[in-house]
Amino acid sequence: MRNYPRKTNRFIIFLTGLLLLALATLLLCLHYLPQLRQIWKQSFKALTKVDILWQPFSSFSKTGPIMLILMLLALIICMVCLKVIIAQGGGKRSRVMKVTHDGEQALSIAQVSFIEDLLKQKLANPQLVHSVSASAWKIRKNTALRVDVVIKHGSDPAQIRPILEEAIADMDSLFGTAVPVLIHLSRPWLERKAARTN
Amino acid sequence: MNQEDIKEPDHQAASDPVRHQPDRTLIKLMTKQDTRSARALLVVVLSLLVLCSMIYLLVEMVLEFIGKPHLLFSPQVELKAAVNLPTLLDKLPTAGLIAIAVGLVMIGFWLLWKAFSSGHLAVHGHVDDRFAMVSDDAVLAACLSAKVRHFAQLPAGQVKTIMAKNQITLQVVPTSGRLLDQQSILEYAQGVVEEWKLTRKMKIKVVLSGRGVVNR
Repeated sequence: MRNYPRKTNRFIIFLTGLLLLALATLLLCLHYLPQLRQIWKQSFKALTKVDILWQPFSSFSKTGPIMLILMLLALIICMVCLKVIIAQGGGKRSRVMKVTHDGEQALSIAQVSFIEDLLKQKLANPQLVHSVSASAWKIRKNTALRVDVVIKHGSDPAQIRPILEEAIADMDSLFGTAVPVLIHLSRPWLERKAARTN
Repeated sequence: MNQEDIKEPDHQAASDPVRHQPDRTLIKLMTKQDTRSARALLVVVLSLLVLCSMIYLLVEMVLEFIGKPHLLFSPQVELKAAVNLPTLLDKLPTAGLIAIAVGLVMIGFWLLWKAFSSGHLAVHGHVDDRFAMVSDDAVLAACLSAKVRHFAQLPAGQVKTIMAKNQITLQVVPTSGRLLDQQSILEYAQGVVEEWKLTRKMKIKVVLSGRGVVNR
């Protein structure tokens, strides 16, 4: 439920893949095609002849504007990379319920910890449920609730479903609104490494 | 809390005790997002690699710019290396160059496959109108193994379930001296899986082991 830029991620991976393929092709072509090698050398030589790019600014520095252009380019790439890394995740909320009481136009908001306690109480079933935790996330302009239910080894999701339905229905009737909920059933952490054998 | 997160009161649904069910598309989206990879780790690793190399280049360029000694290579040398790339490639043995190119092609195609594949995680979604529900494959496999084991009256460790994207494989090891009906196990497993109401239609396969375990 974390706000991942999924399309951007796909595009970045696609672009990197294409760049690597292009690099491999370029290396092989430069090795095996003498004409391309010639073009490569000529174009770089032409670039080195543009004096204005290579002349040092002053006695202060040995480098010319070309280095400054490359520095700027590297800086831009650095900023883009940082933005991509920071863009991963986010969207967590501490409050979830947005209850509107008609007529009075009042608004009540519930803390996630309160909902978590409520669900823990409703889902208290030592034979099936190991632990319950809740978190709230922003998803498409809505605040949705994520409930992580760790169930006992070998417990049946079909058996837990009616209990979950009842708990969610109780929560809905208590708050007077139906918040989008995602329930994730998982096994206790220590059991996860065990073989899927019973 | 952000003010834009708070919805305005909805006067039209005043009579309903529990107002508007969540949007079905949102429920489907949540299920889809939780069963598919966001490829975040791969993107972060790629970005970090580019970021580190760019920071190194920047440091070298700044050192060159202010006239200080460089760390590893002078940027001027690096630029000259780019100009003389064909000559540098000639110095490499052909086998080494081909190996580098093949490596790059393989990583490139792997990244393209990663970009286009569905990114299915070891999680399956359940159909529900009110809430999105997903279960880890380990949960489903453990449940099915336990149920089939009880149904076939087998001791612990003789039923193994392998969950794939669209297929469930049950590997059953019979106990010596007792007959096991493959068809009845298959039908029973199908019934259990139907009760789960998974979003994907699963194909179930029962594999009875040729070797049995001695009954104790």
